[in-house]
Amino acid sequence: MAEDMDDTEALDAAEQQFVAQLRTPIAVDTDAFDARVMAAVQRERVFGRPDRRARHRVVAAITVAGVALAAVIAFVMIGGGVDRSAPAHPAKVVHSAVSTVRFTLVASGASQVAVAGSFNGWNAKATPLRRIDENTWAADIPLGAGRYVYQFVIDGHRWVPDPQAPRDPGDDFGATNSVVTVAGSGSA
Amino acid sequence: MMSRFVDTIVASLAVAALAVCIGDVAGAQGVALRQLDGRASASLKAQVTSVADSVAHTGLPVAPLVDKALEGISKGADDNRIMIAVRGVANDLGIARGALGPSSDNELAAAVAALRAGSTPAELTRLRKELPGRQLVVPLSVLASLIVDGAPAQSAIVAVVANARQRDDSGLLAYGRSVSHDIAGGVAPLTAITGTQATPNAMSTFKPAFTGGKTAPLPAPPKPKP
Repeated sequence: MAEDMDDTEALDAAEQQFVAQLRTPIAVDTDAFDARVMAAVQRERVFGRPDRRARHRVVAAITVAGVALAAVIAFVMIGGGVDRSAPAHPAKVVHSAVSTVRFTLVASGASQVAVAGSFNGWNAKATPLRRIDENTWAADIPLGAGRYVYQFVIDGHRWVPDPQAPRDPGDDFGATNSVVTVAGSGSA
Repeated sequence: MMSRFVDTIVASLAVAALAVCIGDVAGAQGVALRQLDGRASASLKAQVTSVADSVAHTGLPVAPLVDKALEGISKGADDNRIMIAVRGVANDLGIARGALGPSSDNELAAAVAALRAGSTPAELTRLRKELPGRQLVVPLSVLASLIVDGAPAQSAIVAVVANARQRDDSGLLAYGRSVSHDIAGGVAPLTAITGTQATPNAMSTFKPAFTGGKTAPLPAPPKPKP
């Protein structure tokens, strides 16, 4: 029984010592703690949340870059610095699919024949036909999908429609134009 | 913060896209009008440019105007006559767009031809509604040709719609050539458009002048006679 009493007293002493250790305040280096907190705040400002002035600088830079890009695109599209004025065949339309269309005319006694129309700026000299027999003239012309009007020009001055082609209803200058329509990608 | 960045980037892209659109329209207009350089008088070019500016402002293509002016110049027409023709095309383009709604430049040009052949704006609107989603360049061109050949406009549009539903553009062009061939051969226009429509195989016997495809190379020119 006496031994039991001694054990109980020894345990109480150990418990009290343990509790006393837990209650001992932890030593804190407040200067070092403040320094760590401030360093973390500085890092956050630099990488996470820029100050207002820096933010405005970035916004302004993006805006200026966008406007500059727009100006460059507009300049290029309008044609600044690029000479597009003298294509042999004015680029009326640009299509992915181009078909070769043969124009033929029987013109006895002609010394030269050309074709002029909406595909070549109505230039009576741009697209001459080749003589393929005594009286027959022909030319193969690549055309994109679309509807074109034209006439043949005999000996540089006589405008005649194509007798084999449909007629255009427009008659603004006193002579009926012919029509060629090149199929595109329309489907049934 | 992030939303401001996004807003700024979106605004910049919108400005760039707008510039592209403006540049594209202005560029196309500039290229078209430059074809008048060296061919039109200064006065004529100024007048055409003025009409073209008005037309471009409404979103219509200016190339058909320039084409018409060039045609007149090449055919020796005087400036007054050319400007009457140019203004007529501008007017018809507006009517065509009003009838068809949003359209490609080629569709508008073909629609002008159909109007000049005798179609009404209401008929063009009907064509658009009857053939939704289809490029109408070929249907409009065939319609114009049928009317020019003498077919009544209302019958022609019925025939074009019916055939366009069954054929692609090449088939529809073949139909139009077949009808023209029949009419040239003496068949009454109304009979030709309905008859050919009813018997589409008949057109296989007709060889069109324009194949719209690849052609064999031209033979060498004959040697001059001694």
